[in-house]
Amino acid sequence: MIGRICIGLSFAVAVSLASASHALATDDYTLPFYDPSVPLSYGVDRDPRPCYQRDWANVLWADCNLHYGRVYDGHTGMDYPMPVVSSIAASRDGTVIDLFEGFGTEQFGINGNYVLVSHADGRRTLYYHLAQNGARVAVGQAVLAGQWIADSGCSGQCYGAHLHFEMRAVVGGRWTSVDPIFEKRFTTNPGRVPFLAAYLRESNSGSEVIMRYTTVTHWVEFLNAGGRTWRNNIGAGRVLLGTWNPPIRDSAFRAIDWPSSWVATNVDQSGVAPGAVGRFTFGLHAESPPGTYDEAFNVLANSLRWFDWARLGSFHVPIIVIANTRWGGPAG
Amino acid sequence: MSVRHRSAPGGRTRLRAVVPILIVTSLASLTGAQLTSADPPPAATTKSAEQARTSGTAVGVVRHAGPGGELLELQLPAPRTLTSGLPATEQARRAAARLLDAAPSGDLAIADGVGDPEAGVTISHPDGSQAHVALNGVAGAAFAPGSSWLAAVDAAGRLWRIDALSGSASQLAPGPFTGSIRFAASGELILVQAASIDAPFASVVVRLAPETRREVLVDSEEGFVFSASELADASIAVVAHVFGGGVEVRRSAGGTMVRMASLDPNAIDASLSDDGTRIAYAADSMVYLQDLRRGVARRLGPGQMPRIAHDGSSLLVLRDGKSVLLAADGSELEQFPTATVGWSRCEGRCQP
Repeated sequence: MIGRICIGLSFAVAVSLASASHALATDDYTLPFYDPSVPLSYGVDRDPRPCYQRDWANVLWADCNLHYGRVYDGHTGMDYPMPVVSSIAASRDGTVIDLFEGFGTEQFGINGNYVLVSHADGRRTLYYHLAQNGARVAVGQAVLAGQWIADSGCSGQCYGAHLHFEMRAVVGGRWTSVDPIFEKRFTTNPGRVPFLAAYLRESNSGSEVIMRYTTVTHWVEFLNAGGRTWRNNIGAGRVLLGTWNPPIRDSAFRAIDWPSSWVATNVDQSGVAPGAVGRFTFGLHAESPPGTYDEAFNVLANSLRWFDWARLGSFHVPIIVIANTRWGGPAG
Repeated sequence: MSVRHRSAPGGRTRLRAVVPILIVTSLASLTGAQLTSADPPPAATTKSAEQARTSGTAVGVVRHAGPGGELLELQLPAPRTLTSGLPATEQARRAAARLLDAAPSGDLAIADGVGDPEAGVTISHPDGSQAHVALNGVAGAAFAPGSSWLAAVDAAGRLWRIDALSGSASQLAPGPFTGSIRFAASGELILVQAASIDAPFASVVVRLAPETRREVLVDSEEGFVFSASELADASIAVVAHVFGGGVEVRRSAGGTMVRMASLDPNAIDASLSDDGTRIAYAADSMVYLQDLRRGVARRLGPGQMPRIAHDGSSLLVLRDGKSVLLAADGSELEQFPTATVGWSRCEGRCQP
């Protein structure tokens, strides 16, 4: 039997992520984008003195040099290099309180495009250097953690496309930038993308053989390698398994327990914390004539985002439908 | 880069009614930043006209008489930084933005490049000689009244005083300031101080006296100030993105800020006539001219970076990498093959 996972390295990635995590702060801030391969190029300088730089790990440099991967002097946020028009995600639930999107996507100048979000913990997050008309939200709009809120760009004082992500808090009566890594505000340090699933195993690692007009039960397990807890009891953000390739496609193998024609199931558990394993159990019902088939699925945060980065959340089930020797099927 | 930041006030409260004029004795008291010794001054060099010619840095100037005043068409050396790979509009913008200011003396302040973190400022004199200061990025610059020196803000938001003849620089204030830098008739600088130079989304307008380095807060309304300038009647006009959305023009009047007009919420590159009655701006690659007394905006067609004549009667815009002079009704008056055209400030009195 052939293996059915699309990307074989997912398990190794997942284990690596899981072992790196510690003291998970469930449902705190997550990285403001979806691509887990985006590095941190420069973090917050925690030393206010000119030419003294202190990074999130308390390492101090008494110089004015750039320290790639750590910090540069006076930096008030966190820089994440990414191509222009990459998708930017809300780092936590909140409300959009300000935005500007009039500058050109790569328009150089002091001023750039941004979205500013206020959070229930009293903090604000700023997403800067965005694309022209790159806001996907409006002022006053409530946003959910992991929601696509903007497209990245290189507007403003930008020497290479990146996202400047800044967390702001009232310190000593003033709004000031703070270091979310040093303060351990991320679900893990130095942060996780909101939605990432790493394939672990299935109930049947080979082809699912289904007698026509009958149903078999199938399950698949994924490691929650992202920063958000998977839940099955909420509306937007509910983690489910949907048809894929193409997405939101009516399935010929929909069983009676499917929530809809393209949703095979919600995640079984009410809560799957980052680093924990979530199981998706669903039926596969064969109405199709005997033959060989293939059904693809992917994990989705409902109304927010497919877990489609590098197809880590997708898998497919080879299906062999055989003739029903016990029952001839519906009349006619 | 050495960057200090001040904190922005929070909440959505609009400080619309009365904005007291606060006298701030030092930048530290305004920003909460530590006062530290000034950064070392950037290196300065000078070139004779002959040296400028042989080194390829000479600046050619062609003067044109326009309906709104004198226009300077510059032939500049190739930019230091490559702009290939950028959208055509951005390539044109970076070329055009290299002229920073033109002094009545005939001196020109030119940025080596836009988007170049190591770009400095070249001061080109009417006799062809030059001074250069290695500023480490140029946000903006303006000649002081009298033209003997210019104020410039570098990429880290620091404010420098640069001698026009020698290019020697000394730091006036650590900032961070944005690229909006204007002189009032009194000789004071009108500057925009940002919360952070990395991601400026909140800022205030300040007056700074160059000799005493005292700062006065002019406008502290929450939001982000794109530009601030003194009008002919000595009031301060501010073009700002208002916190929560929208772009507006407001004006100081007897210690309070009064809203003059709302612009397109995506308005950028606003340019105000000297009397404050007309404003040109770009939004979504279209150019608009708005009469601030009547509140009527006229769409003049495609273009970017409008620069209105001092009297508001015409404006320069960029179209397809060329400079186009438009009348107030949008009709095309003249076209120039390059993007490096700007208004002079001397109305025929320029040297030579």
